[in-house]
Amino acid sequence: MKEIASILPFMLFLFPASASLIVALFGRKKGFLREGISLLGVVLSLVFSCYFCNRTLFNGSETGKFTAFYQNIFIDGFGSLMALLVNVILLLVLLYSFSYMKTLIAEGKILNKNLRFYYTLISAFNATMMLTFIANHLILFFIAIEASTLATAQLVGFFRDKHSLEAAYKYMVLIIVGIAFSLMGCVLIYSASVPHLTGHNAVLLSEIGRIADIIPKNVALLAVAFFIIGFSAKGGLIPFHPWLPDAHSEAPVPVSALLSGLIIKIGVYAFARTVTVFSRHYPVIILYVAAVACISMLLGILLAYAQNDLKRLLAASSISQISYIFTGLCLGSYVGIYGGIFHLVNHSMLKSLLFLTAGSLMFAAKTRSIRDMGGLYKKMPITSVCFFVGGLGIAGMPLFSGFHSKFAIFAALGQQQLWWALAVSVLTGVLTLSVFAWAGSRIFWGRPADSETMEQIKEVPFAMWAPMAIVAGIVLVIGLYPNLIYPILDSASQSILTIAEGGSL
Amino acid sequence: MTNEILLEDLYVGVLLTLIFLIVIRKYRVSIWFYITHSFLLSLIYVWYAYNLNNPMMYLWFFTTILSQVVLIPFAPGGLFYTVKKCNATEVRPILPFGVSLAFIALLAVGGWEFFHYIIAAVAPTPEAALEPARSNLAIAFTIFSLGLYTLLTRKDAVKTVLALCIMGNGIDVTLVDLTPAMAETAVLGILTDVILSVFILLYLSRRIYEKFGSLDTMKLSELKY
Repeated sequence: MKEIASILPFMLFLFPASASLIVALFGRKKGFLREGISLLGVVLSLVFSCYFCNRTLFNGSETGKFTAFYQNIFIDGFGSLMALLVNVILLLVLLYSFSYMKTLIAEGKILNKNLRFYYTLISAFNATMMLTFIANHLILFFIAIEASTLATAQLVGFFRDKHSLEAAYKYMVLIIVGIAFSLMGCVLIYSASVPHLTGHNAVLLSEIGRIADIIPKNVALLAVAFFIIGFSAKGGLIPFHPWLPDAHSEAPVPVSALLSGLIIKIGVYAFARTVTVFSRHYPVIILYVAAVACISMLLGILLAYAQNDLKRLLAASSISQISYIFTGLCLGSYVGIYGGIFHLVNHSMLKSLLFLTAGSLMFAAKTRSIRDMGGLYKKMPITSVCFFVGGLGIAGMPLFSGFHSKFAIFAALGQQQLWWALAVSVLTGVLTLSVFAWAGSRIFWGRPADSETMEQIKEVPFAMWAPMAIVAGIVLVIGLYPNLIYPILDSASQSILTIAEGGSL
Repeated sequence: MTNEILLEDLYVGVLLTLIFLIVIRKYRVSIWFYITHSFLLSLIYVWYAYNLNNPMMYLWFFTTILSQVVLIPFAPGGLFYTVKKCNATEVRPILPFGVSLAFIALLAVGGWEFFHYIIAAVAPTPEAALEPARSNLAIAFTIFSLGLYTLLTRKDAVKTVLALCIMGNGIDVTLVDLTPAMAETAVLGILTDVILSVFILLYLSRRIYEKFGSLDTMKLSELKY
């Protein structure tokens, strides 16, 4: 594999960061300097991530990795895929925000001046995500993950009312404590690898594979335990899950889509870069993570049953789905990693889709309560189709994208003969289907509590349904032709395996 | 030899101030103990810089003084600013004063002895298992555990922030001990992250005080399953 020295990966970070700065300084009024610049930041970042995807994933023998600043910055296949995913979803969410925020102002929930803060933070969040994906220096990696938490905390508490403050506080405390543990893990790994690697290499993420089985076993396991605590807090696994339903339900809808679609994926990304590498050498890690993930999977979906609030239901289902991804990645085998990454991509798209549909339903029906809605199928046909595409996809039904990824994870579990984990995963899939079938039938065919209000409901405006329809279209296409996305996922899985096997950068 | 005694005195000072910082419920007194605690910690870095001839440690000294002793307590939006806007006393903790003091003292001494004893299991390199790195690592893990203990047993928002700062201090000592050659930018990055997270949390605490009329985090229970 070719190594290309170039500072281009840094551009991924630079554009959104500059956009954030410009909006913060000059974005007082509506127009180019606020909405335009934040959109431009994402679009430029998206263009670069497409370029990196092309260079690191499709180029056959010419496939390369980009490194810069003495290898402190790097981007490989997995990083490119994540960057692309983040930018695509962020772009759609941003487009959705434009009209959604306008309605919030019209309703008097927020003031026009608050929007400068909103778009500043969205761009800053994009920048920190990109920094996470290009960081190769262990400490820089940690800093980027923590910064992404800081950028989003104020977005969760955006409405400044009792509920959103409570949610933001829980979110901050739980994640910062968790991430503090992961810094401890980084320090241990760094210092343990100093005697084995020359000079500067000791602190690089891409070198962890080389020292995973050389450093003392106690230290490796302790550091991995710290990593698991830290990254599962960010990912929302049990017992760190309480922030998830609260933050999702109280944040503005576009932010909920970001939280579930992207923020918890940072935890997964960090997990794949660190714990997956060690799990190949220490089977006890596989057993432990699989057990925690299975508990999380089952409790998450049971939690979803207890919800009447649509956004909380989706958040609880995220706890369950993210556990699938952790299960796949902890196995350390090709099929497991492949399934994990595939499900990561699927879940990002499906959950963003579902949150956007939830936003549209809330926008039209003015309520989040599932029991208060009903009979909306004829009123909102596009939204209802999008909801079912999302729900069936998440449940892993055949012909939808979720099926392929979950099946790969099941196969990987079978390969490692973790039958109990396989049983729990399949059961959770069935329960997920029933939760979404219940919610969908209640919302779209059920008898509404207040039929007069429901009579006046209309489909949401084009600017809101178009992003949903695009995501739903992508999901359907991947479900029918998974071959389309296979080469990208394959390269991304290979790039994790290369690092795990101690291959050089 | 005198030098080593000095270091041991510093350790004792760090742990004692830490115990008082955790158990005392009057915010102002507690914050002053925090300042003293952080100052003593930064003196440990000076000891390292001077005795082990590592000038990099002076950077740690300055950043600790700047962040923990000056900015976090005194800056607008910092600890003193927040407690002025809110109550003067911490919300009653889960354990009563006497029990809490005894427990923390036990944890401090026990933790120190325990980590000292099992150092071979947690020291990533053979050098780290030898003095003075061994004691330093033991004190780092003890501070970290005490921070975690504070976080779990106190239900006050400001104390929670202090607990996070204590955990951060524990990690800083580990960093100093294990990765003395860390790049300056990394040190400054961690510093910025810590300061930002503390200020955002304190901001949220003030807003919570405005809305809920208390800093009791147990009252944050409007969102239920």
